[in-house]
Amino acid sequence: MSEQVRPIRDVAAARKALGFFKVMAIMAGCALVVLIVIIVINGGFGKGGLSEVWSPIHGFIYFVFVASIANLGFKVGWSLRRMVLTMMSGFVPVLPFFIERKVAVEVQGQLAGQADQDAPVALPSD
Amino acid sequence: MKPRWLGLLAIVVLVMATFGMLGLWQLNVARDKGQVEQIRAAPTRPVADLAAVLSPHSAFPDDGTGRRITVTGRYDGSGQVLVAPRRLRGQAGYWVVTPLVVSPGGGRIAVVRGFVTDPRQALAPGSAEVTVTGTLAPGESPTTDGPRADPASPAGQMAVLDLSLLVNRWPGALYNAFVFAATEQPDVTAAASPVVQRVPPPALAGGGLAWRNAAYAFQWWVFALFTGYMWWRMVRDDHEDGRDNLKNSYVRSTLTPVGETRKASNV
Repeated sequence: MSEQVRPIRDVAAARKALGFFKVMAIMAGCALVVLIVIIVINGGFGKGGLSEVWSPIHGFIYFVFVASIANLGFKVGWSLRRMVLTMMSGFVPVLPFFIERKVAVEVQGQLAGQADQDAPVALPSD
Repeated sequence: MKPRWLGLLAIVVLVMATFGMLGLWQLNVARDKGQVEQIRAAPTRPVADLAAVLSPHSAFPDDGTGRRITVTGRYDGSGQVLVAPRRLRGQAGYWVVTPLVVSPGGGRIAVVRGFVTDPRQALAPGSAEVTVTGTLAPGESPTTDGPRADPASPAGQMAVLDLSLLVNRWPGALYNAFVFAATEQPDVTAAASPVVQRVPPPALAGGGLAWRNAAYAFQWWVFALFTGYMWWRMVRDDHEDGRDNLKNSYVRSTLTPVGETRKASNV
């Protein structure tokens, strides 16, 4: 899944996108847990009650999560496969929390690595 | 435009069409639920005069099911039919359905006067003027369930309250509806046969908040649009990569610092 990617075009934008993704991953993870708790309390699917109110809200949060993945993925050069898989992680309870950690570590490394690369390349110009 | 982008476009269009249809499905669910809500709310609406809701031979109104109405007329006992098998409070039996000749106008409307366990208990009421208050319902769907489907069968029995059969049996104009009688003034049914029990109108089960399904419909469409956006963005990025590569190779050959090309490509 971690195939080599093209260099990040805009490091500042990628950093911002990573922050947005981290927030949304945590929110989507929490929203799903809340949804499941509500469904369990109600005693099954389609029983109405509070889940009637929460499911559309969860859907909206999930959509923003998906958008944040695309936003990050395009900026750090992910493949379509990687983006879709990350989006689908939002269907699995608690998984977004782990994905958030994994992606954060990886992208931060990528950003740091690129900052190191950029410096020596730019030096000989002087 | 590279061939693989066209292939991907085909998939994207397919996904968008699927999401669009899923959205339409949810929209229809929302509409159906809205209708159920309307029907469930119908019993809480004030009692209306039948003439204000429905006239003979006209289509049953969308918001008519479950409406409480009042209608005055005279029963035509000769047209009475029994609908069976029916159940009430665990007992098997018959619905007693009698045409009421509505005054003024003279059109006939089917009234479910009550329920009996034995056909002999279903004695026809007198033809005194009576005001019936009850709940309106559309005619039941026809059945092909053997001879009982025919009201002209010896016992005058039907399997369902099929108005298309009653229109042939009863003279004059027919209302496209029937009434679950709750009360009669005077109570001619009890006077004719005290064992006849009133049939409560069926309760509507299920339902739910329509706006939730409308929100789902909207979300499906947002995802469909987003899929299209993803494709466009990928094509654009790929195109820019191609330009960068060209530029970089040119830049390297002319020994211009890489730092500047990076700036130039930060669009």
